[in-house]
Amino acid sequence: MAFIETPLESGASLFLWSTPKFKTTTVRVLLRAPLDQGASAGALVPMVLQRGTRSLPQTILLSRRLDMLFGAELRADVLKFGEEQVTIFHLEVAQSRYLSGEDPLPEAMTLLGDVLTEPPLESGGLRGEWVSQERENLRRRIQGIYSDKAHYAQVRLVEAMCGLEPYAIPRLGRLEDLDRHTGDGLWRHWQETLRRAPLAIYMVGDLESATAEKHAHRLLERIGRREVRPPALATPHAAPASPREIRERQPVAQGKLAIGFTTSLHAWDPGYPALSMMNGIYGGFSHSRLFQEVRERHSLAYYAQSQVDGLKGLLFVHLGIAPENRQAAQDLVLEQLEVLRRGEFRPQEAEDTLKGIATQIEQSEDAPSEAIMTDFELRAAGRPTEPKRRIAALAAVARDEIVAAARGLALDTVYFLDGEGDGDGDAD
Amino acid sequence: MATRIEVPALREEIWQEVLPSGLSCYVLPKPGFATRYASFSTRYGSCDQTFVDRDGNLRETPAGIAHFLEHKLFEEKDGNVAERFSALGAMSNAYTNYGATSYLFSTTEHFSEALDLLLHFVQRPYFTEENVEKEQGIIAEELRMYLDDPRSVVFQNLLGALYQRHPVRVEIGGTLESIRRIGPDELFLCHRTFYQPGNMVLMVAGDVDPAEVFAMARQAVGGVREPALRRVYPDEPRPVAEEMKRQRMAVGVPLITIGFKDDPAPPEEALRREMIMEILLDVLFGPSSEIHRQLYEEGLIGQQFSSSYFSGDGYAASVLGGPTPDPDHLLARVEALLGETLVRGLDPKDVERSRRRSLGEFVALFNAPEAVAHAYSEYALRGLDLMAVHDLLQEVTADDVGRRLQEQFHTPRRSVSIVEGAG
Repeated sequence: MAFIETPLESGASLFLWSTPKFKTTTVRVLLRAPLDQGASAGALVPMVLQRGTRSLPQTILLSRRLDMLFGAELRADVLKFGEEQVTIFHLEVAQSRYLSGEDPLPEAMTLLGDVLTEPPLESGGLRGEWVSQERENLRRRIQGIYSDKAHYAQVRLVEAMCGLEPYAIPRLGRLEDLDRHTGDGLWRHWQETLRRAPLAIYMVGDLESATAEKHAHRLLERIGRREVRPPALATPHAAPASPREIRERQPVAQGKLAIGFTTSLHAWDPGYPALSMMNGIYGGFSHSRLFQEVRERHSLAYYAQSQVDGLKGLLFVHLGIAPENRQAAQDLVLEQLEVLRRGEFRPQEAEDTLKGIATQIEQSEDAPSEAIMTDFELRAAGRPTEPKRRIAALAAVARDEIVAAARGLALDTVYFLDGEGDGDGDAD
Repeated sequence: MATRIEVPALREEIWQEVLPSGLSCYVLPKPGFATRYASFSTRYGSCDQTFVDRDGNLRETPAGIAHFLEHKLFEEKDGNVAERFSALGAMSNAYTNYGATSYLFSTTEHFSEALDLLLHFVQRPYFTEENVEKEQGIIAEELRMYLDDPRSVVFQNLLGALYQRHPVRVEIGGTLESIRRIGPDELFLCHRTFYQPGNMVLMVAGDVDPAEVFAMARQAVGGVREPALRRVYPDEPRPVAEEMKRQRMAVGVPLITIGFKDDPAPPEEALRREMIMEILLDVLFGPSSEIHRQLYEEGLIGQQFSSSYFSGDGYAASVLGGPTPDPDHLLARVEALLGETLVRGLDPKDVERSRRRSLGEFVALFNAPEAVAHAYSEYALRGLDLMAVHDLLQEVTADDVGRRLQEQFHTPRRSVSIVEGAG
């Protein structure tokens, strides 16, 4: 990866990838805060900040200004990152050489700074009308998760698995916290985040480093004096003495089976590539065990896959199945893990997985936002960022390390979203 | 002979060659990109249920057969093609929509081997009673997944309400009932009819040499061009089928989709029409519009509210909607605000703003070779050239957009689809 880091001040850095490869300039400002009871405030603030600035104090004015900058994209959202909540401000503008007109970047950068630091204030807080409107929008976004059954199953699984750990808090926070947010409290929350959050400014585009540094310095000047707290490390997960099983019923045509495991490896462990390989063989690809067995051999599912959260040390399996096939599907999922634990996979499966992950690693350099997020995640975990080194580390994983990673998994919780038909009834 | 289609202002070009077999090949060179991408597509989608076969007989096939065929082509006598792509480090995929079926892969290594595999497997059907039956279970689960997806349901219900006869009113994947009527004979018939090179497009994007791609395609796709095939669409009456369609589901927030049925543009006008309509819909309902501002401030819509022009062979409609706490109130407000706009007319400044935004978005599209390739190939199957959008955007005037406002919304033929909570 081609990002060059320039430390700007304590807790803030510029990461620049200067390249003519893309037709746009992409800028991301990433702020890391602990995932805690303030999560809904963290989710709400960027929604309010996007509504306007002191110089463009109506949403429609800001939006029209961005249109005139050839559809410059300026948006903000939050991401759940281990047990942190990362606020992302994203700016993307077309490069002037492909347009007839002035370079839109300088003004777009000013607008980004305005959105970050200069919302219109009223009696010392964020504008009350915007706060109440966005609170309702956030309420609907959170309620909307219920409409997306696969996503809902993952949220419910994690809540059941992680109980009181911060990881159980959803990305957008919880409904019950929403009503206490006021313009005043949110503005204080945001100033605290700006002052204390580790901050990264990423830029990708055909930019001189001096120009990029000038933009980054200007942004930090506007943010003002900072005393940065260190990033929060994920708390260890407490696994139950015996696996939990949870079943919920809804009027759905398809059941969702979501299974959570704890892993023995974390993203910062030197042995982590073995877990990536193991996950790839197990459920990361269409050649993987879960897809081949559950879907192709037994026709039980349309999708069957696994994914790892290396920051928390958890592995999740997701399947969409006919409710009456729940037990058969669950047995297959666990059986395939046993196969890996016994080391009964073909060398070809590991080779295909290595090639698949290598392709993903190389492809992440073809999209600015993906390149930024990949670099950000790897640095956070203290892992090498260069594609060649990453692929070499995966290639060096021995067969018995893959087996050990599989043996390091412990079944934690099984969540099943069942239909309301009479079905099996003996699944609990 | 290869020809070059160029957009000098963007410093982008696409190479084109039509092979003796009738296959149209396109290459978008993207030096410096690691990903090489290819798609092999046929102009055969869920709407092509009725057609005249090679022997001149009229054939009717079950709903969902194009999608079923897409699934089944991945299976070969000696295993699954997806695994063979995996062994090359390539990710393969496929999709079916209303008007096309596309098979694709992306890779960073072994591009030639993967392209060769793509060109061959799509031309090599292997259907047996047993493997067709096995697929029915998988596709049934895919259909059930969409039955539980309110966004998919609200949109498909809208199409069912807008259209009386056109097959766009039926789900792309068919129904749990219709897929049971699909067997190897029907699949072979459809493959023979629609997978002839003259009905297909090969699209490649990435750091590749166009001449090499064309040479490989010539090698792999032989034969001579066959007479154009005939699809049969029922005559679609102008009025909508139903004005309101409501369904209850397990949703957290209600959803609404409002559709305005349009007369389809003649094929050669389709690209220009789509571009003008996207500008019109942005001016009317986009984030910078007065209507959007009012609906947003009234708490009726959030950031997920969107609008777009939905069109293809024999159908066209403006579609808008999203999650809302009060679908009926939102509908009433859209009606009222649209009425005001019709009286007032469009502000040319708004059209200019939207035009600039579209230009910037067209430039940004070229950041993503896969996205360009996908869009280019979809248009190429319909005989249209996506690159022409750049010039069309320079030419479009406020009058063009204003005329469409009256044509589409003055005496609207409107349907509404609502999904609400289960109770």
